Amino acid sequence: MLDILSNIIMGFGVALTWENIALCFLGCVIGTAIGVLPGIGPLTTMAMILPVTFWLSPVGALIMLSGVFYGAQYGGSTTAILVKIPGETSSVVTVLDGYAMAQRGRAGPALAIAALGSLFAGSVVTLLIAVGGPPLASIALLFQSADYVSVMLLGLVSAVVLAHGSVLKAVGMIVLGVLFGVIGTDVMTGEYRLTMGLDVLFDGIGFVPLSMGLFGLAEIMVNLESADVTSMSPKPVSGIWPTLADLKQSFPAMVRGTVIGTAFGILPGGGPTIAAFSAYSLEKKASSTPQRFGKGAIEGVAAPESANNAAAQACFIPMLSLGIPPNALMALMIGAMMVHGITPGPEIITKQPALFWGLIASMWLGNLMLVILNLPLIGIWVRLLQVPYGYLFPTIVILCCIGTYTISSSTADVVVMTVFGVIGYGFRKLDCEPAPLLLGLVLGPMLEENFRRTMVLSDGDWSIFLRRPISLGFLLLAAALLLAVTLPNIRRSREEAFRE
Amino acid sequence: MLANKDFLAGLMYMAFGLTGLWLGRSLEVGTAAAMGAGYFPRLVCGALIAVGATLALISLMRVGEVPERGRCRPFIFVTLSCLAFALLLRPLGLVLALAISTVLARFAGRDIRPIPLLLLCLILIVANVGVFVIALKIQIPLWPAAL
Repeated sequence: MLDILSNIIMGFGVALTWENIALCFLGCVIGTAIGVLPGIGPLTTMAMILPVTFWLSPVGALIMLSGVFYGAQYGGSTTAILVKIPGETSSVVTVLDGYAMAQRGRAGPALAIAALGSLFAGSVVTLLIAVGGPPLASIALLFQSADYVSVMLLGLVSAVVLAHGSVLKAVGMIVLGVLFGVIGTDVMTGEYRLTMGLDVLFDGIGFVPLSMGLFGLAEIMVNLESADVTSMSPKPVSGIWPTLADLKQSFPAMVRGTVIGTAFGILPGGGPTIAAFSAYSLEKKASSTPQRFGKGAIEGVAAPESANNAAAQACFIPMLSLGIPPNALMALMIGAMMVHGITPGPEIITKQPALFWGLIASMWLGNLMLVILNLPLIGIWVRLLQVPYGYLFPTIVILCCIGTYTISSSTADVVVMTVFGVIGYGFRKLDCEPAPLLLGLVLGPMLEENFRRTMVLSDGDWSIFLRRPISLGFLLLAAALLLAVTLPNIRRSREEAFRE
Repeated sequence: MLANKDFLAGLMYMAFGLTGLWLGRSLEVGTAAAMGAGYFPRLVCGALIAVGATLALISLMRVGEVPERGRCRPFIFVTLSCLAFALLLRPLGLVLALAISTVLARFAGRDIRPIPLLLLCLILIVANVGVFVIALKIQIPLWPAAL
């Protein structure tokens, strides 16, 4: 316990330097802004500012990127409540009761509860990472390559189970991502693979050009096709403070939301969106007055908002302690770490304690900043909604271009990004969710390396995956998940969960 | 009937898998104990083709959704804008490349008015030169090489 305390104090020592406070603040501001703006998500934004973070210290870069990520969860809920437009997919359910409250003139309390719920969840999970991260990492140190292969397979399987829509399509996207990951120089033999002789592909498909194309450009193309995205002016917000009754009603919901959010955040393939959906439907089932939901029940705001923030932070746990990204956003964080020369994995906590604890301390700090940013300054964010999309989308296109260029001063990378924009547009037309592809792209090379190492060690004997107990456990879990998703009644409830 | 989303997605996966096999045809496979560079790629391509084929076959058994036809203008102009940036940056310099790309990108949308468009170009040029060239000191030519 004392250990943790001194570590946390060290973390605050790192997070509370002027530079890092400023970066955390900047990340939160950018995150909130893109959370408010519809049509641009945290993944695109993090990819866009990734090149800028190359000039920062590694800690500073991670602090800023995580600020963008959890800041977006806050900002997304603001627009969900005020104008019925979820800024992020993770705040889609908040629209149901949040907007209903706003229409009854209770927008202020809804916003306050959303912010307080997020702060509560953020604080609990931050503590959890501090307490749980190090032991988890020491378990992970026992892992051998066979175990890594199995845990990554488990991650890919649950990414499929938790993805929206068709299971087979999600499998296809992941495998396609792994295939894209193969492109480039083979680490073991030095041979070029599937590069078509193009110089730009010798080092593999860049993470940033791919994600900016698939998420940034493709999204703009699709958005512009449908009816114009118009700006709107919500009613002014008066009276922020929730009543004591509000707090009493929403506190248990916050606790339940935090628990669900943490679980879905740690789970590979999970993340804020599914956490928020599940928390809302649980809250509705647990309530003695389910008929109030959808008409302005404050628990319907508290639970999903706590859950999405809890999940947003809990996904750092597998990322920091195992070095395995549970979702596309964390895959991007891993990409950022590798650019800074940090190899993600269980050694981070022992070898780079300042980085680990500094990041954790900054998360708590960032959550506090977000409450301050969101409540009194709500008017400024609302005004941001009035920026016409006609200004916004060319800006995003330009930022994608110049951001991709600056990574290695290569115009060929910009062409690669454009190609992925075109491919991404095709994916959207065919209802293929691109996020699992990104996970496959990052996990693919790790999977291959560990797979090959395992097979060398076992002299080509496949049964090694079943003979190691840790590996066997992960494989059984993966098989159980796959089995579960094919059972008819579970499949039905999964579909219901996504429809709600 | 063949134009439904699942069927096309299945075909797309198969196409990617086959392309991968073809591009990697000369890579050495090796054995499980001593894998060559081609072992894992072939495994992945095989899996992708299998998934694609299953998806396509299943889609034939039920009525699927047809992909929505949208306006092709956003798609064309966003693509053109990025390509223009990539091709013009070296010969024309950052300022002109930004201006041309911004105008092209804006044409992907509707309601284009000259004054706001000019303003947007100016803002983007000033902001990007400020951040990337002045603050971060990235080596990008600002003006055409001929000057």
